[in-house]
Amino acid sequence: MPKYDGNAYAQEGLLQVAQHCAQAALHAPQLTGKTEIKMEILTDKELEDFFTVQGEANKRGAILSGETYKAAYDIGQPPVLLLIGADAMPDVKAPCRAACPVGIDVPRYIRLIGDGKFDQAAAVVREKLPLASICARICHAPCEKKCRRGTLRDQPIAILALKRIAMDAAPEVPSPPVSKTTGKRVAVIGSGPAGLTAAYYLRKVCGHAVTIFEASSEPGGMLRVGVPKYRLPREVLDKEIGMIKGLGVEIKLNTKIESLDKLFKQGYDVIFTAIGAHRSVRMGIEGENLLGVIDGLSFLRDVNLGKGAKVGKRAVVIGGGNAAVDAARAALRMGAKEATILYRRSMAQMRAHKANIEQAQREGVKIEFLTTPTSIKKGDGLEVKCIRTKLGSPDAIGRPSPEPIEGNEFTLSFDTVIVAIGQTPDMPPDFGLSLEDGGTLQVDDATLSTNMRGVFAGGDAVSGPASFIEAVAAGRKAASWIDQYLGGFGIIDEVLAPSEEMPEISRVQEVLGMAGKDPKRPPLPLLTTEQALSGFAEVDLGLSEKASLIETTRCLKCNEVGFNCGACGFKTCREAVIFQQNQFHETGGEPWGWLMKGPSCIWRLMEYGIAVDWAAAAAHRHNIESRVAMIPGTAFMRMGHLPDCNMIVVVPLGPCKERWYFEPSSGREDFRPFPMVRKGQMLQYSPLWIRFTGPGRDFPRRGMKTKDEWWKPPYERLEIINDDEWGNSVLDRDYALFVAGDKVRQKNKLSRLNLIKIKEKLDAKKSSP
Amino acid sequence: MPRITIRDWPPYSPTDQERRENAVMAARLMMNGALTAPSIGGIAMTEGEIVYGEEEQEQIARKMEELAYETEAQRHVFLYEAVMARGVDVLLFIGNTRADSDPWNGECGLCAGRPDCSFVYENKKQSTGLIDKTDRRSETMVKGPLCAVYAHQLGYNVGSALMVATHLYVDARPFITMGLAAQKLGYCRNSSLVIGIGIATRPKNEPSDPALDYHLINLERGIDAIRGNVNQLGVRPATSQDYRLGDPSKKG
Repeated sequence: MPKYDGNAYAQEGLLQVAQHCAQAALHAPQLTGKTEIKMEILTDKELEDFFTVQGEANKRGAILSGETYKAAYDIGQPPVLLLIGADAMPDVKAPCRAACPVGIDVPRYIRLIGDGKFDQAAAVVREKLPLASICARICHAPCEKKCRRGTLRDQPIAILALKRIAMDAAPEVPSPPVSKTTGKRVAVIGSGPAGLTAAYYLRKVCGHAVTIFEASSEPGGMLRVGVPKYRLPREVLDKEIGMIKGLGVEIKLNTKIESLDKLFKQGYDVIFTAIGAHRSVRMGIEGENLLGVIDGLSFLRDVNLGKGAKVGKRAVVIGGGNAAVDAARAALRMGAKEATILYRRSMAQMRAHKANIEQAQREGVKIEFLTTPTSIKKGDGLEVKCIRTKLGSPDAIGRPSPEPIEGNEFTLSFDTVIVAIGQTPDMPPDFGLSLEDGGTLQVDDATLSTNMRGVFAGGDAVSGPASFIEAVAAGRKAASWIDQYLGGFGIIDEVLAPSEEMPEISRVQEVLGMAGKDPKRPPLPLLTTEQALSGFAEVDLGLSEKASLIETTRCLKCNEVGFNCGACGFKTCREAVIFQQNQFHETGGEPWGWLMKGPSCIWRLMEYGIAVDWAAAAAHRHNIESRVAMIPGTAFMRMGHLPDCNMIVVVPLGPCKERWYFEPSSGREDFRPFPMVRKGQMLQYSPLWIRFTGPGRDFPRRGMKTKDEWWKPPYERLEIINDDEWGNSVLDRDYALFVAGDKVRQKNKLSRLNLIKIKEKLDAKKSSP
Repeated sequence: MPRITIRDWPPYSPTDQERRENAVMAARLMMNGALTAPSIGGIAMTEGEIVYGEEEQEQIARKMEELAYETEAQRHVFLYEAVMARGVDVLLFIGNTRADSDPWNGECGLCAGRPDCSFVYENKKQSTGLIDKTDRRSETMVKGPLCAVYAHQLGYNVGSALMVATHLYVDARPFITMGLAAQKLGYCRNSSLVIGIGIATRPKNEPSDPALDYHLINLERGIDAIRGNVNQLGVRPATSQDYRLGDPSKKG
């Protein structure tokens, strides 16, 4: 029989209890239903960082700032800690914003458009996305799929169309100058969305010298060769690329990189591989090599680069992605009289954007769903033998796999067959990077670094063919980690939108005569079919200004709690949200030198409190000792635990070595919550003697002036205290906490803190000696 | 002389009364739970009130309906929760007495201001660091700003009360709207921040699963509509009018 190891078993049991507590917090009753509770369970080894970080602060602050930091000792060395955090600020993270891979603040720019501030709206978009005008045209808009107006009521807000009008109205926004050069050099291979995005941030925000190597004769990658002009006009693409060039990014065209070592020898410190996925996947059926069967990407490349693609009268495209739909639409513009798409699943599984499919169908493209080609033969043109399929069991990524229905075969005749069933990266063999089974690059998910030191990778080359916005997200992530690799903080977010003034309640509805009306989602104005098919002019004309103003009124404003109760100190939720955004958009949301982040929505905080209480109570149900500690949560916040939370509460479980309660000899005798008096600072709580004697009555006895200069409210007195040693020491203590927390973040590969800005901000608060 | 109210079809039957009185007992125990919740600094600052009775609940529900028309965004919430205020067996109100006048002073920065509670002091009428609680005028439903940490503390109190409810197997749900209305009516009058908890002992826990347009389509109204339909045994006239249809969605 194994020897009973009490400690190990206790640890295991406590971990189970911690999970019960976490469950209880998740099942706690809600008040607004808009507060997401996040939790983390830590045990002894994982706690070492905490004691290091808190120790740094305590060295400087425990005596100076009194009890607050002493509370950190409360948690002692418990076997298990449950961290519970929540974002309880007024600005609720709306589903649209959460769905955006780069995290654009969608409700914010919709609100600004509603106020007629198109330029500020454009700046909000550009804060997260340098290729914003392109995004406004070709994004697949995951935000719209999650829009609560769509999931709850009728149709989602036309977010993409609103972004488009903002970008058209203000194609350029005032922007801070390019950072000073650091002397480091970065080579970016590929000028697609991932490469351009990374180049923008590395050059402009981080200050590294960037060279982009492009194999093609024109920059843009898949944006240039894969997306036709009727969806993305070339002047829009050229303008965005020109903006990046204008920052000092060099783009070397017609330069195919075959070996990474050679680049390193040229003096580059880091290489970012964003070569995209430019090799067409083959179907592997009979007749695929016949004359008249072409691959979709080559066809689109010839069309888009004006190399004169040839297409017969009856064209068929095999595939269901954007490349397939664009090939069909382009075929109609290149002289085909009819275009058909063969897709082996149904409409719901097509990867092409819904708007693209709808516009294709409007232009006369026929789509044969549940159809798989089995062979191609010469005959009347090209005879494509097909078989009907049905949707079967889901595959690895959850899409139903098509299963052929025996005996349901038929033959269709065409002049041109375009195969667009997918793409893979065209990886030069001498790169020496390890690959996944599908031919994509293998990277560390957290940092996008590859197996070779100093080489990072992102975009379609890593993910396989994905969307524009996912490639941009990869470019942002890569830029951040490359900057950290080169010694920076990896902070790439920009502040472009100005602070907002508190507006009147938006009067759009009255001004437009829409009061009391319930507008519908506007149909997008398009070119007529004849106009569209006569050339490559942009089909989508964009919403009118009036239509877009009306469209903003449909927003349900799920980013506001909406009671307009005034408890937080602002008259409306909208004011509180604007205040928060003004406070935080400069800092990326990190608090400056105090324990928690404000402002807070009172009801969301309370909802969060209910969850914390349920977690602690659940421990008691298991006869396990627990308590609730707020102050130690700050160190965990600095260390990057539970990101996006404005407060973290710690629930230690199990017996602690330190005393938890205010017993004599516990070293906490001086902790008397009322009245509390500190060195140099009186009146933490209103002391009793004021109440008994009345203000000012016994001042002379205490040697105090009875004039106003001393007898001011406590907050002003705190400012006075900032003038002495105590105030500055507190700021030092806070900075120590930031620095120690940042070290832990660096070690754990978490997003870093902007210590330079934090230092500036804290120093500004210091008083001069 | 006390008010004597007589109705010809009271929903409060003698057996109902017995059941409701049991719910009152649960509410008392829940209040104890609230008082023993984790407390910031161990300072006493929780206040509670148990409200029970047709007239009292009706008064609170009407106040909620009145508040509904002062706000646009959450109007439907006030309206359907007013029905629940009438329908539950007993209401428990829990408030925090310090959030508006005596902020925590813990350098936290959780409210909109600096970590010295200045935001609360600056936005209130105060003298010598003592906030004037007699000035109860407010443009908003709650006279803010409040101490955010003490609001969080009230969450602990409410959470503990609700935890007791789960131990006792009575249905309970916290409501922002009930608290707002009750505070206007003078319940928990020392508190600036009040949460209402509806407690019910019925087979169907309606507050946890309300229907759409609950203020119109709910069990009470449904029963009343059936009672009121004099033609329920014969052919119903004018069935094309949706108010004559049992299920308006099946119109046409």
